[in-house]
Amino acid sequence: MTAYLARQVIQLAVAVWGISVIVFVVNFVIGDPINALVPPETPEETRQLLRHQYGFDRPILVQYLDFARGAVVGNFGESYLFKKPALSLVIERLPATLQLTVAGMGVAILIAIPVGIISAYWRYSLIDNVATIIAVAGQAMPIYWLGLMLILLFSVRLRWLPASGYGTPQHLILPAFCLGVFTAPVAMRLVRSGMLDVLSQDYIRTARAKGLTEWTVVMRHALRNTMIPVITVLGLQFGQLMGGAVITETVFAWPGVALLLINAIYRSDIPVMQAAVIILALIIAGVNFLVDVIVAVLDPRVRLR
Amino acid sequence: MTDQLPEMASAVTRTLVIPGRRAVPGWQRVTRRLWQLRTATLSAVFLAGLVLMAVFADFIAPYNPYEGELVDRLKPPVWEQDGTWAHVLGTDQVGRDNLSRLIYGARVSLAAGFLATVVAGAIGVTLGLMAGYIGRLADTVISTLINIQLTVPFILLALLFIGVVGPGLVIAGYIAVNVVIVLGVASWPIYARVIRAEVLKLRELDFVTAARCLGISDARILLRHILPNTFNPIIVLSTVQVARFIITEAFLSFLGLGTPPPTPTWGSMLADARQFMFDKWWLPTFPGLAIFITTLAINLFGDGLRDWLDPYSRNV
Repeated sequence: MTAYLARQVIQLAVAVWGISVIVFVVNFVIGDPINALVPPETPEETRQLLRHQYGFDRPILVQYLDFARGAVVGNFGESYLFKKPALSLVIERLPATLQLTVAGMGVAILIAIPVGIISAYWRYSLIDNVATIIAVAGQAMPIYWLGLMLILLFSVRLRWLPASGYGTPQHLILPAFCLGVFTAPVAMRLVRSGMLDVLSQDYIRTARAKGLTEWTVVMRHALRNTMIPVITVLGLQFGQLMGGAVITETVFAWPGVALLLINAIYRSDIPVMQAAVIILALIIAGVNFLVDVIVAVLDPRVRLR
Repeated sequence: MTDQLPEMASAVTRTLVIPGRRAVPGWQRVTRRLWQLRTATLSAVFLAGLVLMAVFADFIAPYNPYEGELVDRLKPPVWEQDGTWAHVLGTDQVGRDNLSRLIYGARVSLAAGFLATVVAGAIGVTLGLMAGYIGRLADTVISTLINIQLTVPFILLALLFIGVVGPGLVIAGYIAVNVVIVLGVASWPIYARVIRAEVLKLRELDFVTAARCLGISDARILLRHILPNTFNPIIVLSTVQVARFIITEAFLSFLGLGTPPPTPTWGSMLADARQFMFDKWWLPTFPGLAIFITTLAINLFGDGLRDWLDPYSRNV
């Protein structure tokens, strides 16, 4: 177990470090950081002067070590735009993003589990076919358009919910639903195929032979064994969910990390870009790590891999 | 990968019915198969039509998508009040014909989706082959790269890259070079991972050992014996990727980071529509519908293709 954990920790560290290198290379090697600080019509001499002032003319390796030394202790420098530490700007926005992600995951699970069970239990029935069609359509749906359509229906037509903003539970409903619908098809297919697999097992026949009710057989005996792979995969897909949250935030003007990041991209606010991407990567890698550990605790075979 | 496990298990337990081989003419088998996969066949026909529409947009579109009359701005579609047959789907905020812009927009989406898949596939397949076949250091380095890039969502990387490099040169008026490269570079690991796993499986098989015994060079084994055997997963994966790239390209355009105006793109039409959507529902509806139907058709076509290429589903 210790060896397994050590390996996972190393993998996590390498992944986050790798992301930080990618972010650095993109901004400082491929892009020109001076563009972020001066208007496009600035003469070359002024640019050179500023490059020197900011230290952008030093060897790239020296600049990287500088960046890495800061990043390790959470110092990503000051935002060019807000003149505040980039990290604290990201941390301020983090609760909103996590709220949206968790709520979206909740909606996805609330849709996927019942529908998945029903689809598997009455396989090839009308309900199963309709659910499958909706799932296929859901996977092709651009999430930002779904968001716009939800706004059109629930905010513009019915006037039930606010179109954008943050603060009250009403504000959370549409974005969370949007993100949930985006995630639900994958989860539903997992529950369905897992359930189909489990329902044909011998111990289910045994449970039925004992005279247990169908409800107990499905909900107590089958569902539990279905959920282990489902939770694993959903946990490992946390990154996908975050990607969906990034898009959802832009549609609903949800003031999370993604909205901050996109505004930083528009204004070439490099410190904020770096802090936002690295913090998001850290969270995703952390969740993946937790899932790996939980799975290893539950299933000893995994540790030997 | 893990999500396929239950399906694989059920594929194994599925009884393999070998039907009595009757002498059925080849073309009849093909038509029968096409009928079984009719959803995919219909999707393929639709997609072929879409490609033709994009290619011959100059002859099909009723108006020039770049020019509009300001007096005609924000006209509703024909079935709404004040709608006219002159502009079937209405006009946008500067009076350009929505239908014509949708038709031309297909060019951007299809080209970006297809070309980005080529870029991602070229990088991913090459690195996947190297990781799987050479192994050792090459495998360690490439696998680490794959793991690093798969840690963050593809969309985040794509945003970061495009934010720094910008949309770049626009070829032929609708192919933004940097958008294509960014989408490809942000998603090659998906190919590399699949191909690596395939190669690891294939290189232990007898025909590879036999080829090696005959003294065939590694490069030749890799390109002539292993690569052709990975074509099926590459093709199936590519259909999924084209759809994903179309959705993402439109999102980049939606944010104003993709193909720059005045090129008509489905994503930028959505973005323009946002400020008017509170009283003009059709403006955001049709560009999104175009993206949705296109990606749906590609996914359905991909599903059919997978069934066609998968010998397990070829009985009956």
